Amino acid sequence: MMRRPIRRGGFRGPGMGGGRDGGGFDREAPRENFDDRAEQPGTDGGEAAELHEHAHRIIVIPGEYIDEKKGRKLGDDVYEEGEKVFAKVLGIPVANENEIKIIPMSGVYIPGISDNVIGVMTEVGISGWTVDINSPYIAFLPVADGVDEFVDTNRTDISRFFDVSDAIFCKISKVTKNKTTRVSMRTMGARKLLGGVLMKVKPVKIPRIIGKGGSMINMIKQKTGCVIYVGKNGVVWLRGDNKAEAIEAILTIERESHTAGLTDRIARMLEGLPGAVQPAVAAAPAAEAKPVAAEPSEPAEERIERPKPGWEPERF
Amino acid sequence: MAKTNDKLIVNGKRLDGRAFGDMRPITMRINAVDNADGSAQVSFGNTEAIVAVYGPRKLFPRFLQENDRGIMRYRYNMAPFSCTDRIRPGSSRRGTEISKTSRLAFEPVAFLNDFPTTVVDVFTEILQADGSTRVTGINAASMAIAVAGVPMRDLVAACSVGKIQGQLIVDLNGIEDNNSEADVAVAMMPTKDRVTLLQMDGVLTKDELFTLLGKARENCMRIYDMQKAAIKNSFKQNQDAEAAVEADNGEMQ
Repeated sequence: MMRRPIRRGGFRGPGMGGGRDGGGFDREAPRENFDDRAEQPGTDGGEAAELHEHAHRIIVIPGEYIDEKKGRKLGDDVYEEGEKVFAKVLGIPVANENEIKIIPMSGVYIPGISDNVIGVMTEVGISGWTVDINSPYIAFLPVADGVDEFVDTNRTDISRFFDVSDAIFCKISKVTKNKTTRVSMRTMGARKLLGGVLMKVKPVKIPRIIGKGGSMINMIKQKTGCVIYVGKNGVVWLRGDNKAEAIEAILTIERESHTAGLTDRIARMLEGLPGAVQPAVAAAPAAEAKPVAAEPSEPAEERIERPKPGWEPERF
Repeated sequence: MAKTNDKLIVNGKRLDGRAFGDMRPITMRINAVDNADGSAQVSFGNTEAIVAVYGPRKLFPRFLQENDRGIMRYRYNMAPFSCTDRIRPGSSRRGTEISKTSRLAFEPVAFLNDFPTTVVDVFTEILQADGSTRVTGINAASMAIAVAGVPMRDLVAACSVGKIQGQLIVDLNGIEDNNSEADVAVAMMPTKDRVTLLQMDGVLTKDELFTLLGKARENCMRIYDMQKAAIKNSFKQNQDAEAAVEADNGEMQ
């Protein structure tokens, strides 16, 4: 079972999605709770529920009229002309009492603040690292945000912390107007990803892979016993004996994301794998987990790699 | 295709049996190229274009990058085998011009400001050429850009109109194109009713031009409906699959 970091407020840990529109679109959502969930800011259910509601209705193409604005907020991928709101991209329109937006069908990952992403180091610089975040924009990880303690960059070769091709789970901390992006590891759940494999899926399919409230990804983790981290940028990292099955499951979700009853089918697909986590343990909600007690049982290599205290700086 | 002195209009019909205002049979499909972010294939009669769109993606060389907006690169290319005469591969004066005008047809439509320093690459390959290739390419490119998820103000629909042997016609084929008194390529944003491309070759009176623009507008609207249907139907199939899955689940329960 993977670690579930608990922190007051804010970040909810890896694989849970997060920020603006993390969450999936499980079709078995009980309909009566729709509006409640959608209104909770930052809950995983919001977009899922909305998509569930609207998937059967319409798909709009760019330029298609959605609705009158009527004083509502304009969300992602829509534009206004006068009082009328139109679609910017191909997708499913969502118009509720607060907001008009589109859930896109395709598109690249554009960094947004607080997104949890998986990045790969492409360059080790003097004061930080250049990180490939599977986007048209590369990100920068400053030493101060990447390492817990003070590092004298004049005296230290920072590749001892992260080298080229190392993978990290991190958070977008800053995006400027022209999309210069900075990431940070000063967040709960951020870690260097040792071993395992990275895979890429379409970024727009990530909410479906995570599922409502993390239901889909937690089920895959439980049935395969793999450690899985899902970045909002469409990169997924997996490690474990059954990772081939987990990859197959994730690719199936990506391929069949538009179909109903997917959680059940994936569950059947992964039935009876050796190494599955006992449901009683895995089903424990994050809020009730006892991370302090659970952590010692975790393999040592899964811990966040930190430089050992008392190391000597390199002197040139 | 060479010029001909034969009649292009026989018994009030064009050589392929069409009336003056008729378009050729049109087929459209999306996702024609798996590797691309978005792609489409469109044919107007024998004219066939396939378009692949990549991006927004990083732009190199860096000096081409714009800090406040993304750019679009549009390549129009005719396959060497697309005509009866072999087309010499590589860039040509004609190809460069059509690439530029087609790009200009999309620049007012795409929200490139949302993606500073990036590029959207549009590759249009004409597999088979029988007149009106640039508008066929634009129709396919419009769908491919939409499928790639690039934000757009509207789709772009395009069609060609012209004049042969004194008659105003729509959707010129190869032989009509080569022997026309005038031909006009028009691309527009159908829901906004705005023109994004207007090119004319030959001689027309003012009245004839305006009549032709009216016909072009009418046909662009029809093409827009087809584009819309082609994109939506491909997702409708998914929804049918969805319905089937739900039915399965019901039986199991």
